Amino acid sequence: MTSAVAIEIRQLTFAYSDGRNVLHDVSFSVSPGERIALLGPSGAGKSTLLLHLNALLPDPPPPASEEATACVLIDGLPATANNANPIRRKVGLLFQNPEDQLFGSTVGRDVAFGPLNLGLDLDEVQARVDQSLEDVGLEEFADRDTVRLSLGERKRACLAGVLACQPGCLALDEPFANLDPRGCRRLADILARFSGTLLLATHDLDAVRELADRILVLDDGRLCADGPTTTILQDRQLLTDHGLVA
Amino acid sequence: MPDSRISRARLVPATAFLKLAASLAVVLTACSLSWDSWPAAGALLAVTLAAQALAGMTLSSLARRLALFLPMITLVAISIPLSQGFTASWMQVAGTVILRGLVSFLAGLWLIRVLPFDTLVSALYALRLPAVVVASLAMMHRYLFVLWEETGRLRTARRARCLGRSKRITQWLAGISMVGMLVIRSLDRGHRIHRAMLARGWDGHIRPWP
Repeated sequence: MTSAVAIEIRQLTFAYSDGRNVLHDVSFSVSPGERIALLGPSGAGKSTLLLHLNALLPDPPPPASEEATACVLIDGLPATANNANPIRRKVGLLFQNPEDQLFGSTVGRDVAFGPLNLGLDLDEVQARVDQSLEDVGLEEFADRDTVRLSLGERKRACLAGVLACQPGCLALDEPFANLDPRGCRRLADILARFSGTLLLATHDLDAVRELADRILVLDDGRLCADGPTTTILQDRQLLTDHGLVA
Repeated sequence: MPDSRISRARLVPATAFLKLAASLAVVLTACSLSWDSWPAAGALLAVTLAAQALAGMTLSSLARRLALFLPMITLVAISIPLSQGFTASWMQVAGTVILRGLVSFLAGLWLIRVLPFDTLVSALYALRLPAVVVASLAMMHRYLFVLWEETGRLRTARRARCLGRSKRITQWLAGISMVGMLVIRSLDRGHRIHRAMLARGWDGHIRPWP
């Protein structure tokens, strides 16, 4: 495992090309090894924010009011198109829909995709595939056709594909969505063992309570709250105002 | 880490190459035959049908697949005299096209029945086929299933809102709309898959995993 990474977001504002403003002046920083939950209603901008951590969106304009030249910094490195490769080595991104991420014909082949792109030799790739499949409890699934997996298995296979790249930060977009309680439990156990920086976008408050030390509340593209998990989760009014509890 | 897994992953069984070579030989032979050599063509057709039976293909499964394939190859066969004129030998030409297509289709069907797709992919990599071709084939196979599932969901959703008998024209319009929706969703999915590939370090070069 590579060392945990630090994240810094400075006045991040972003709009898609169709004119939708998704993020407005979002600023926060994450220390190495910190475990953050990103909460917010659907459409709050959580997924867009996570995509920025992987330099997967057009570079946002730099903040005007500061001398800083970049909005998103990963271990001090600006998350721009020019730095995409080192950034993606540091931050592993798990997408919401496993069908988008699981493109290999077998589980082993899919998990090997990232390590092969890192330019590792085949023995090292095989070692990483075996290790990450073991980490997610799918050690017997290397030769399994990806079509023949349950949703929970697909999500864990996707996570194995990310872990095989040994990122210092995991950014997870709704990892518990549509999982049954046993699937959630298994995934939470895997994430609890991860020693790097964790950024978890979710609606699952039980998982947040268990996995996160700190919560960021994002609503309508704005950062509305930032504080320790226990404090935020006890603020019933805040949770209601931002659609986190009914 | 078990060494056996490494060797298993990298070694393609010799039988895979034999099956691939057999299919290729049948296709090449079929393509070299014309309507005039119908006894040989008939024998080849009989062999491929027997191979289907030996591979455990049931008659109903075969019939379903042929029901999809035969109209397409017939259209292709008819398009030749339609574009070049109905000469005296147009039936032989069309018959040759159908025969070649049918035997090749059956050979391909047999191959994917007797060879797991992943082994086929590994064999193609081992034969040094361009990585981009093999990767495209593997991805197409993967996402055909996803697309099929998506089609099933759309059809179910449509049926759930079809109360009573609808007119044929309404069904056709709904079908066209569904195809359009599938195309849009496929484009969106393609975009998301590309992002997921970039996120795992893809730089445009396919690196084969044997």
